[in-house]
Amino acid sequence: MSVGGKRLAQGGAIDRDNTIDFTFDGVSYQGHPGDTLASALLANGVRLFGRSFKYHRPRGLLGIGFEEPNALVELRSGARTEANTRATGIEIFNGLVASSQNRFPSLGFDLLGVNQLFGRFFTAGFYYKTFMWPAAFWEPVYEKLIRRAAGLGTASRESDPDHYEHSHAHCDVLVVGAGPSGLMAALTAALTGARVMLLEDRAWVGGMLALEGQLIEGAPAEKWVDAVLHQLQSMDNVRVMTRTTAVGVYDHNVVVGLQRVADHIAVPGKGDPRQRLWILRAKQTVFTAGAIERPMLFGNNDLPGVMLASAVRGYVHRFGVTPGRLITIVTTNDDGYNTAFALHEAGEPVAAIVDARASAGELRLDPEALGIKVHRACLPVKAVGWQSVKGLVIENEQQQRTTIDCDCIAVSGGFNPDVNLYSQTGRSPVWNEAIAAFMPAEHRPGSQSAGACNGTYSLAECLSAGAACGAQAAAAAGFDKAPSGALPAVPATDTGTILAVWHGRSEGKVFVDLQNDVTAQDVTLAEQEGYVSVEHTKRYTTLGMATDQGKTSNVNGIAVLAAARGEAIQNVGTTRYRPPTVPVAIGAFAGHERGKNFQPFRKTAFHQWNVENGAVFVEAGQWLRARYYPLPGEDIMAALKREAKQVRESVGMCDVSTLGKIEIFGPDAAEFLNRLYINNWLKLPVGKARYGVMLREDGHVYDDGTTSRLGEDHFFMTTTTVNAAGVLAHMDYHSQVVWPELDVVFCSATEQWGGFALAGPNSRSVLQKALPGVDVSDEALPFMGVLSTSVDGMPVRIFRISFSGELAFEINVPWGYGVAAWERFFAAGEEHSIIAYGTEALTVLRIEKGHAAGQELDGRTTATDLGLGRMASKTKSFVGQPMSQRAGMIAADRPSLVGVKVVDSNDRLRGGAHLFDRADDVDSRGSMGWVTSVTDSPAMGRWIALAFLKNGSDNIGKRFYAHYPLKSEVVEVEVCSPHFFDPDGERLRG
Amino acid sequence: MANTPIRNPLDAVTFTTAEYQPDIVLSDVRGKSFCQLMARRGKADELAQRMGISTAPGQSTVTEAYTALPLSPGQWLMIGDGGRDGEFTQTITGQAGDAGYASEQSHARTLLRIQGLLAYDVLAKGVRLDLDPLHVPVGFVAQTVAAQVGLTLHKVDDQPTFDLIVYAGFAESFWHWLVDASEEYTVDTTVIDQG
Repeated sequence: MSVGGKRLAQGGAIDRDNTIDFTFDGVSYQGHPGDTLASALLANGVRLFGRSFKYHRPRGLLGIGFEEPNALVELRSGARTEANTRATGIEIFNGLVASSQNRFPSLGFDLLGVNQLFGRFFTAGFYYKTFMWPAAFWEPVYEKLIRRAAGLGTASRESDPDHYEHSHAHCDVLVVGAGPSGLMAALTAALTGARVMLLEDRAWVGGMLALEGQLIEGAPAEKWVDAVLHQLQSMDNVRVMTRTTAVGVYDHNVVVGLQRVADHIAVPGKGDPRQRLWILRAKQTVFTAGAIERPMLFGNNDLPGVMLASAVRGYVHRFGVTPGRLITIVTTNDDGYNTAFALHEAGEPVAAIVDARASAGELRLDPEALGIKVHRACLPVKAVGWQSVKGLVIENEQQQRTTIDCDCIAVSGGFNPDVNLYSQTGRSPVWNEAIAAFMPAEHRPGSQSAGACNGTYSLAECLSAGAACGAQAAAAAGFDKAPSGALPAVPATDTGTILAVWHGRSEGKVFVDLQNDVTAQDVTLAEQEGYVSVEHTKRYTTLGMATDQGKTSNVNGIAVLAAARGEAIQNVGTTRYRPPTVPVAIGAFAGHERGKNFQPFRKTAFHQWNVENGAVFVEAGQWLRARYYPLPGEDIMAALKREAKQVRESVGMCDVSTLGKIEIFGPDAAEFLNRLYINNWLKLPVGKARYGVMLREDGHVYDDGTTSRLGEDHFFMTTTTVNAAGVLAHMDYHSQVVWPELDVVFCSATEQWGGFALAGPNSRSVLQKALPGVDVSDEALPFMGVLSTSVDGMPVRIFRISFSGELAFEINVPWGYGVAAWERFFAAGEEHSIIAYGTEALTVLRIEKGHAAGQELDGRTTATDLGLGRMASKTKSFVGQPMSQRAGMIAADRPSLVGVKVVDSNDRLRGGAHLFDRADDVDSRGSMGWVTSVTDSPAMGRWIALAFLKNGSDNIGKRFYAHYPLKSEVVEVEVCSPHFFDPDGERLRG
Repeated sequence: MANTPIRNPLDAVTFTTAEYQPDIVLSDVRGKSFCQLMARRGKADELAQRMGISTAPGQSTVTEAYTALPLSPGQWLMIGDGGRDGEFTQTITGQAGDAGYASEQSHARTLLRIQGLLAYDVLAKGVRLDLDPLHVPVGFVAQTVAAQVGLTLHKVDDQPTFDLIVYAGFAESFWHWLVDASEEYTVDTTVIDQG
């Protein structure tokens, strides 16, 4: 007798006139358009699809859809390699390459199959019990061992060449699943005028109607399916999305759908994504996801050839393939008989029907009249065979055994409504004894279930429930037009009764979870060891984990656990389902935000000049800032020292466009600033700038910057780059909520103005040359003076402020003039050997001057800590003022800002080092302070740093030790004023 | 007398014409003037009335002199012509009188435009809003986010044409996203100079 699947002479929704070539494990096969990898391999007689996870047992196909636990294959090759794809969901295309997983060296002969012999040791909690001690082995030995044994398939190490994207959509009614209930729900809702989206996991619609020979209106159901699909697709308010799986349901009826745009072809078309993740916002959702057949528990029930009965029927009807030459049906309900009838109608022999019940319900045909032997009140004991099914041993109530020869066992343990999405909404499924399954109870508002996923199995009931839910959902979304017309006519059927059979009189290994190799014995053992909660049993045994999330195993596992606990199944309950319902590629979650698109970039007004002049950039948030401008052969240290030196000796320009800028208007603008900043603003004259410090409400320093008065009721604020948006929000809050009485308005002007610092002893000379005819003398533009002018039609604002400690000006021009202005000033500085300097040199210069920046304004420091305490007004209140007076905030020994410099000029300092008063024995002594910003100062000829030190100013002149344990460094330092360079500020006023 | 050249944020971008009739046209609209008009405390209605701006939320006002896009109660992004060196802002400031202030934004904002029936599909790749023509009339304005970039979106006509206004520093990054999102269709990328 030949065994295995074959293509039937006729039937199926495949295109027999055309063939498709593909390979599996290096062997070439042919299939037809319309085939899945599973159906095409079955048609070619392939029975072995993979090796099991733990015992490396041979495994074949179990199902026909996304419930498949066994037939996981590695798809494609090279950079497009994708592990763990379900053969049941892969549409074949010419040149498709697939290979089996978890076998070595080959699928037919797998060395690790030896694990089966040690099966009694690989029980529940094996890892927990085995890899316990010694603890020293956990990371170096055990983790490596476990990692090698764990996981299925291998991921490509190359970058995925395809792109993925996200898309958003809104609708009134979202229907998940395009079976009879879903089609009816979508059509009914759509006819009210509601916007409807219908998602279907498969490439085709119809659900079970496409998998079995039902009649609607006296014709094959496919005709009705086609007509409804055509009608839906012709409506403007409907979107039907096939190859799209609802993978998650979230609050407010947000549903995430994964659309496989180009999984069914070799390479995506130009510009097409491989997959698209839809974020769908629906007013109402209707789940019509169908039901998944339940396997049965008996010995060797994992042998290739043991399949779900509905899947066998589906392969016959949809693909014109029979999975075996002689098939035995084992069932607990009437539906199993339909598989026997389908085989009979296709001209295929049926070895026998084994019915757990003493009698069946009202059947469409009489099996015995068709010559099919029926064993009533019999249960399966074990499947016979080594690499695949060769027979089935059954037992009757008198415990008499019979062996049935067959090469395929089609099992039906009943149907589990697909409650995954329902459970994700936060509701618990409840056990229903009549259908022996968990089904939805009360739904979250805005969602409902219809049809098989709601425990309704007859076609007539599915159609009417779909129509009712569709109408209800549309009405709830505001479309209450009553549906008209009759439901399609279908033959009356009785779905009959089910006898719930769990762990019967079986022999040998009885698998509950095929994907994770969890046996009924494992579940029982877990219960004995105290893992009585279903959530604990899941984690301990791995039941229901991994890519299939227990779609075919959970309920059987729960039943076995219930039996072990001696309780009813409803008392055990289900685990909470979590997204995603099916595996989703990480690329789909990332979408467009990958590589250089991980986050947007933001360019300054001078970016192009910076690029053309060799700047090395640093990402400051989203900004691309010029970090340094190396000359040929220069490294970063050489470049930043040269740049800083040139600023001190002559003149340089630095792009500071990224500083936040806020324009403030109104008669109360000065009062507004007076309340935001710690210092006084009421008397700032027009045409002058002032340095300001803001606190958070809790009294710590928030931000600093200079703000200028451009008119009586017009100010121009600058913030640090990092807090630009935050300060604006802080101001909005205080303007709208805290001081609504103030007549003040403001908005961001950050990108209106490009800004650069012109700094160095020759800066005024350069400024004068760049702006001939403008008086930039010390008298006309004194320190902290502001001048608005224009040159050659270009508006220019000049602020005489300095971050470097040198004579310096900050020049602002409208963004689009940026490069022109920069070039103009740079040319004017040629005679002084002007240079561009980046953020690194900027940092050197500000550390030498003791100016605090981000490392010092770290959210833990007060104005007094930073040496700015004297700025705080004592005559007014301001944001953070009350909280800044708390005992801990004004404690005398708080670490405060100091300078430190290395004693030995060969030593270096590191940010993050801690300060101690001795070189050794520091573990038992508390740190006395820490180093924040460091630099190898060209001006000081050694490494210097800003630091926070307890009793800071009292320690000036004393020696301390900077400990940096990450590099085991201890460096002797001398504490000094943070104002290393030009402490009296003579240069900046020059 | 403006004789200093003005650069545009998309100067480094290459614009291309499709071989076939495009489904999507993406444009960098240059030369417009912008300012942010802000009503003084309690004077939003007075300012709107004085300027002839609708106070309807999420709805633009288009006149011969300007287009006003609501940003928040009492605040509008004003778009017009007549110079990017502050001239437009001065005109608006004058019209606002003591009811409000205008902040010059001509260089701060970049106006990008998407046209064509498939614009809905392109925008859906980033914009979370429901832009269905049944719900969103011509003149619809929203401040939203796409590709992590904040934008002001304005539905200009039913073609449809959407104006997408972003901050200048983000313009090139956002443009790249728009082009990527349009890649699966036939797309023209162009410059419209209205200066």
